Amino acid sequence: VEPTGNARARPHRIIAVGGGKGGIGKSLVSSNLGVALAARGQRVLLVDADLGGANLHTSLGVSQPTATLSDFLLRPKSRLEDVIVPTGVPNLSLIAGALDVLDAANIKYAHKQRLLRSLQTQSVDYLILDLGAGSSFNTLDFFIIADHGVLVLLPEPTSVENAYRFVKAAFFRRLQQVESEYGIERLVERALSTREGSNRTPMEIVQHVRQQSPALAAKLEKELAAFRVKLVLNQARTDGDVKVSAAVVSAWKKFFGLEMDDFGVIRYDDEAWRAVRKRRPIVLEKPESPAALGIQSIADRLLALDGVTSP
Amino acid sequence: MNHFEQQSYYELLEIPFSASQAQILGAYTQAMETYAPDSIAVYTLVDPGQLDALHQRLAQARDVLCTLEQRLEYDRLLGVTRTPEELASLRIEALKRSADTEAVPAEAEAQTPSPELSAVEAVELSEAEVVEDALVVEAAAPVVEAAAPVVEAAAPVVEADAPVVEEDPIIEVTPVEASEVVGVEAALVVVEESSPTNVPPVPVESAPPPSPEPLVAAEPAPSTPDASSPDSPPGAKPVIHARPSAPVRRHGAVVPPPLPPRQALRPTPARLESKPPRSGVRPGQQLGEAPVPPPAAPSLPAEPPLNPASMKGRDSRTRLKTIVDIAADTEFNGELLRQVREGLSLSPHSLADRTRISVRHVENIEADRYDSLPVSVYLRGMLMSIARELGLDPVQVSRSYMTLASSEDKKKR
Repeated sequence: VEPTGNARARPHRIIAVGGGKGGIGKSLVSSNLGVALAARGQRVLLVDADLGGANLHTSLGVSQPTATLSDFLLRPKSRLEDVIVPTGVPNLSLIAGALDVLDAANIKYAHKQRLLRSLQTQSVDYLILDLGAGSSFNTLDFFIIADHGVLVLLPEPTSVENAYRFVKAAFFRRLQQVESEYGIERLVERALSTREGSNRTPMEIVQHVRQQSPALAAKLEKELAAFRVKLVLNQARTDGDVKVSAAVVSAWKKFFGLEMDDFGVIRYDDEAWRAVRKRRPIVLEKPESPAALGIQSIADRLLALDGVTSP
Repeated sequence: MNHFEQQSYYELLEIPFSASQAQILGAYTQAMETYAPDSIAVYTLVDPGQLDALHQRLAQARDVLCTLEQRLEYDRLLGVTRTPEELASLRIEALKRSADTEAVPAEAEAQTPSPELSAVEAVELSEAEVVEDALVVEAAAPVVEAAAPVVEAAAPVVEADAPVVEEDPIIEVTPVEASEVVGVEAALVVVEESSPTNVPPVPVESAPPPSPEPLVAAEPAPSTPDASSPDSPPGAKPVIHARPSAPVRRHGAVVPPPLPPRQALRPTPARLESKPPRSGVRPGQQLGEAPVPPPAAPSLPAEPPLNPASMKGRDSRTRLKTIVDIAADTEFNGELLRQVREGLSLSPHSLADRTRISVRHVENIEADRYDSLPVSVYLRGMLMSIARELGLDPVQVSRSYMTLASSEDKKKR
């Protein structure tokens, strides 16, 4: 995706929060990260990109938003800016997910392109996309436009399984955007559609390209290295759980050959679900709770990475 | 393909170049935990074969990095430079460790590992078993030509306190002089980095053989030139040869020969080893060394302790240890696997028995009947078991065979 317009007419950074499995805390991470960044003086726009299961507004305590994404999708004339609603938190605004249309998850290609384009022209400091569960292209396509792809993981086999699946799918989907340049269409297609192919690693694809052109291979290698997912481990109950993120980072490197960043741990915390029940972000409700502190340090890390100094 | 095969030992263990022995062992323990078969971190990411391969390499990494001389040699290959201070502290550490080892009564049997070294030593112990195993089995193997020297060689190994000697080069150099165990020491001395000076004369005189073996590596792994020179007298077998003749030659030599049996015993690690240095250093070096064995000597020690360690997990009960000279980039097809099997005088049935793979599959694999083979995840496992049984490098065999099979597949479609 090409950056459009001048530097001002686009978000400073796009964060996409995904993870494959449902119920792992994607919305919790998105909303609280949004609040934490807003509290650090960043202008943040949260977008509920869970097209079939929107509920981000509820995490934020915004009851039945007056405008949603479907207003934008169904009325081709309206601008995305028109469906932005305030959240009550300074610096933080929201585009709520589609609530009224039941087939919103099956968004048409043209609609998706228009939405993606519009999202990329929002002039805020951070655009946070809260993705739905699963690894459908509609979900992946939001993930791969992001500067920071955040992968939420629980220390459970089910979550790990879906996370690997999700991140591999995202990787190959990303590759699909550049494949024609490298003559690897068939490899990528096989990777996405066959069991054998999905076991291909980036290194093998680079090697394949190298046979034709070492220069192209070097370029591709660079491009692939940019696919660097940020891992957030949620609901860690034990010290052993905490180690899972480092282990996943290590395994991803050893077996898939790509870097992943261990971006932080959110401790399992009863306060977290109490806050959800109250429909309040935990960083506001219980700022000193372990879960809230975990999110705060993730926000700090993100700003440090982007070279932003908070006022 | 596994990316970790391209990682250096340091990257593999995720430690800095300056890591101390304790850090290395700690990192190894940690990695074994992370990559335990039931580890959540690899759930659905890898198959058991990949995990096995990783375990083998982790053990290699630990073994090499925990033996000072080998580590320095490995560093050289990687192009790591060390400050004098760093070097000094590494040496002190190594000396301390030797002292510790010695503190445990040197005459103590292999069964009493020093507590601090338990991790390493445990492995050594099993290595020792494997070595004995290998030698003995080998003596029994059909290919053996010179029975007497082999038996002689086998016996001392059993007596010698192999683990200690091997792990502790510095201290144990001395016994080399004891002439009656020449054969054995030769095996152990390799580990001994300290003897590069001894090495040159011997292999030179045993000159590069006319290479009757079609399969002998043209661009052999570093150890190969030496491995083949003492081993392959003109009449050597084409594909496989046990290296029973080595001890014979050794008797003539005053100095321990460069190529110890152990070296030859493990073609696998030598090959694996040749990959990690990503810099082109190693290959270049090989080229230079191939015709003239002597300079190769210093690089040898990097390899030795590897294979037995990595093999220890596999049941060593009955497994034949084959010595096969096969180039690192040899592609295994069914035909080649068949030749190796026949070289071992194994019938398809007994191979099937040993690997618990059905005869039908064994035959289909050997006949390259790709259409009749099981899906790849099973096939890979089978190939790895067969390779282990045949004394080949499981990773190399499975990878090259699978590549072959899949490219054939494509042609048909």
